Amino acid sequence: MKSRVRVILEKEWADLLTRRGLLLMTFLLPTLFLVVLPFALGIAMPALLGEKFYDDPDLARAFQAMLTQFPDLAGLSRQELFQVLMLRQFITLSLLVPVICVTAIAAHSIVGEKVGRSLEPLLATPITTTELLAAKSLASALPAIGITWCFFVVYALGVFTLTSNRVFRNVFSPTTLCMTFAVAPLIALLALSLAIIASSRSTDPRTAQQIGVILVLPVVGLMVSQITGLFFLTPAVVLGAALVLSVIDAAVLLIGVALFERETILTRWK
Amino acid sequence: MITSIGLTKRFGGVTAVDGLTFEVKKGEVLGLLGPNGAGKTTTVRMLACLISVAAGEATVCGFRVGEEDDQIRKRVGVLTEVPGLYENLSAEANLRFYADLYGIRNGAAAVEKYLRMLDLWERRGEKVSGFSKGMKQKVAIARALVHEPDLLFLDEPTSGLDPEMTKVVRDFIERLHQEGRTILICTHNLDEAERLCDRVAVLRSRLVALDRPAALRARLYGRNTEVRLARIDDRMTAAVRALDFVRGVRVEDETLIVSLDDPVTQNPALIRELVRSGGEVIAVREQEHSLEEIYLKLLRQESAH
Repeated sequence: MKSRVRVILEKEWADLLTRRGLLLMTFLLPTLFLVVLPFALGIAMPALLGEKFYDDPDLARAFQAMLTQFPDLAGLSRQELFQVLMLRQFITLSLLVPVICVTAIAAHSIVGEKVGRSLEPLLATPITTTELLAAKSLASALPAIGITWCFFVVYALGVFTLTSNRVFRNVFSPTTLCMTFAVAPLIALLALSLAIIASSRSTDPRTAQQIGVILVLPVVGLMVSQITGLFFLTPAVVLGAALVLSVIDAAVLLIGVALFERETILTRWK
Repeated sequence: MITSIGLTKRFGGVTAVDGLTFEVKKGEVLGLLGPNGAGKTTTVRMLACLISVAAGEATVCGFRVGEEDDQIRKRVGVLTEVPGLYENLSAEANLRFYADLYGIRNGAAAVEKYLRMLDLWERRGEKVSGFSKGMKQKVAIARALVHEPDLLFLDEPTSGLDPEMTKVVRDFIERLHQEGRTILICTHNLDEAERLCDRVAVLRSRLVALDRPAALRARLYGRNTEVRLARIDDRMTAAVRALDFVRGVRVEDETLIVSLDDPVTQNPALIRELVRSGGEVIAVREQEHSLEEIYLKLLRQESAH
């Protein structure tokens, strides 16, 4: 006999497969962030513009800041330095993939149940609210994280194929691996909890999705500060961020769990 | 099957259900009647363990509400006010989902049984979003039954359906009744309650009345026989009044309305006396007050209190 969490997961994914717009978005975003933009901006564009491209004074300042922070990059050519600078940023940007995917899927899943008034018959079954919350969370988190990691592998293969080994080693450092495999799931969990909270007060999935903006802004800010050489991510910073995120995740998750009670859902969710 | 003692629910300062005490026996169909906001849906939600009970106690299928909710949820089926189906999934997928949630061993067979019973088998693979309101309601009814519950809660089962589909749904509920299912129906439709329910409970936050429709009728209006005559004169009314079982007599147009205890045994003597006193009887029938009249009278009495 299948567990009730698995039963709901299968239903959620069957339902997700019927939503073409949502599916398209979940694949389009990582394609843009981890395939099209990095290779167009990091590899194709400099190749087209030639050596003069690296004479830009702003770029020279960014290289200098990067070399100060990471002295072991000193032996790299200007082209390689640029590739490391750019290709690392897209790993930071890839944090948006789980945030946006998880928010979109969870918002459609929960708001969809509210609008379709399918929560009451569901809650009349023997399912526990913990099982329901776990299933709803996994149904949006697993595809979002899975897609992020799959595209990360594609990205890694692309970088490995199109750049030198030195660039590859510097792009896929412990810092970026920690970002992808620790920070990305944690930020996805935070986005998920926020989406659940927003969904409980909204009847439009788009409104619930907008909560993701709270997380998009710091990620974009982080990326801009790295490109301009203001701030670089180090393993310590990433680990610290993961710890802080874990604490925030726990707090926000508790609020989400409190909202996910039968009576609250039936009588207070608007 | 259901025992409710002083069941109460409050939302903030508002008492939605106040001290509700009633019982539903196995195989019985009980109708919950009441105006909007009378507490019908809230009562069902409490008994189906969807919301908590503020005061009082209830047992459903032998299990205590609030303490053994999981056991109750396994044994009851709930048809909610709106179908609440997954519109992007097929009828079969919707039912299969619920069959799996209830952990039914042969879910496919259970789904097939109810899809066939409700004439949906041929359209089982179609998305529910393309179904009419009536078809959606049939899927929702099948969903409430797919795990073969001991007790069925039906909240407004024919609300918003066209007359043809209303009849289909009512016939199906009657069939379930004949099979011996225990059913609690919330309805605004008094004709439906009269046809389907063994007993009706009139609610207005608290229980106003609970009985068989016929018993409520007798309690509120007594039992009357209407005798339509070619003409009525004082000799006839005096002869009828003289009968010891007659409680009262009044004349409306050419019809004599006689209050008595048991029309079945007393009507023959009444008619004999009328004929003996020169009456020419055109028609005889027991006066019927609709459930609607009873319901409105009960609510008026309740308001007056």
